[in-house]
Amino acid sequence: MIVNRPPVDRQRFEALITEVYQPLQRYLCRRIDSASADEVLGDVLLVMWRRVDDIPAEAALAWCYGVARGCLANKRRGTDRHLKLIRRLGNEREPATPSADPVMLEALSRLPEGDREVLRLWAWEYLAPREIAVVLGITPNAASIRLHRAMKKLKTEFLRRNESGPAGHSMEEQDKEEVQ
Amino acid sequence: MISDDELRARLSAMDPLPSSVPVDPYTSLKAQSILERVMTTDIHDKTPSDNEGRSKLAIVTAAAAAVIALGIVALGVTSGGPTTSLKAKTTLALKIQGNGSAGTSRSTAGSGLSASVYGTVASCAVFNVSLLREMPIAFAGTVTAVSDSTIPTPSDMTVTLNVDHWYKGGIANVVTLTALITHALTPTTWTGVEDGIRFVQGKRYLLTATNGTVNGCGFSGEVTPELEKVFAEAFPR
Repeated sequence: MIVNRPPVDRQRFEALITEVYQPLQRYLCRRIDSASADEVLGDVLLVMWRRVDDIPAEAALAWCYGVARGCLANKRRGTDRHLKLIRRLGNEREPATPSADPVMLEALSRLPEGDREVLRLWAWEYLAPREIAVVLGITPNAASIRLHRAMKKLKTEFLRRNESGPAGHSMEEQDKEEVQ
Repeated sequence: MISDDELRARLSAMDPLPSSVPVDPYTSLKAQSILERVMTTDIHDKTPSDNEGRSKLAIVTAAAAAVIALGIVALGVTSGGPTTSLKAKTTLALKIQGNGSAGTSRSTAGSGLSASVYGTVASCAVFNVSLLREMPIAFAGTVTAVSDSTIPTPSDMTVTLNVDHWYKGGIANVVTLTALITHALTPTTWTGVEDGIRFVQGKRYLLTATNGTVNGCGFSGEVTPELEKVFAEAFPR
C-alpha cells in the first residue's frame, strides 16, 4: 500500500529513481563501506520519497547528493564503525586498485577534508561548481571559489612533493597556523 | 604547472569506484526491496536520517538564478562626477537556462557575451584568477537601492550601487543594474538575486561585467575576505 502519496508524486519519484539510483550508490560506496552504503542509501531514498515536491528538476541529482551527504554525516555521528575505515584520503574508501599516482595521492591527503570533498565532487561525481553548490548548500559563487582554492592548494602540494619528496606541514596544518 | 584538466583526470583515475565497475541497477532485487520499504513508509513519519536541517536557500537561490538575467544598462555618473565612457551603449541580457542546457543571449545592440566565461551559464565556468583578470569591468560598491519588486515592469527591476573602488574599466560613482525577468519568474517574486548574489541595500559587493552583463560563477558577489583577496590578486593596485 502506498501511503500519503498521490499517483503523480509516485510517478515522479519512480522517474527520479531511474536517474539517481546508480549515481547515489557510487557516491556512497566511494565514501563508506558497502554495508553502511546500503543502509544510508535507504535513508536517502526515504528522504526523497518524503520530499519529492522539494527536489529541483534542474538539479535533482545534486540535491540527492546533498541529502546523501547529510545522511552520511548522521550515520557517522551515530556510530564509530566508520572510523576504522578511514584511510589516508579521509573518509573515502581505498582505490579499487593500488594507486598508480602516489604523489598525487599523498598531496591530496595533505589537504583539509573540506577541500578534498570539493575535489572529489568535481573529479569523481564530475559536478560543475553550480551543482557542487547545491550539494554543499552554498552559493554557486562560494562553490566556484572554494573549488578554485582547493585546486590551487592541491597543485601546490603536488608540485612541492613532486619536486622535493615528502616535506613540511600539510595544508591543514598551514590553515590552522593561519587561523592562529 | 599541472593544468586543471590534467588535475581532474588524475583525480578521476584515483576514483575507488570508477564507471567501469558496475553497481546494482534500480531494477535489481535489492533495489526493489529497498524501494518497496521506502514507498510504504508514511511520509509524515520523521526519521533521524532526514535532512530537514539542510537549508533550502541554496536550492531556492539556484532556481531563482536560473531564470533571472541581469544586465548593466547604465554605467554613468549620477552624482556630479565626470562623465564616463562606460555609459550604456549596449544592453545585453543573458537568459539563464535552468535545465542544464546552454544559455541563449539576446542583445539589443548586437553585442555578444564572452562565452568563455558566461556563455553557458548552466555549466558555470570554474573560477580562476586568470579569467577574473581578463574581466573588462570590475568594481566595488555598496547597494543604495533595490527597486520595488512589485513593479511589474522588467526595466524597473534595478539595483543601484555607490562605487567606492574601481579595479578596472571605469570611473563612475554610481552603477545601476537592471534585471530582466523571464517567464518563469514573476516580478513579484524577484528578490534581487542573480546567480546566487542577493542584492541587499547597505551591503557591499565586488562585481565584474563583460559586455554589459554582470558575471556570476564566483566572478561577482557580496564582499567576503576571500573574494576581496582574489580581486586584489587579479587587479593589483
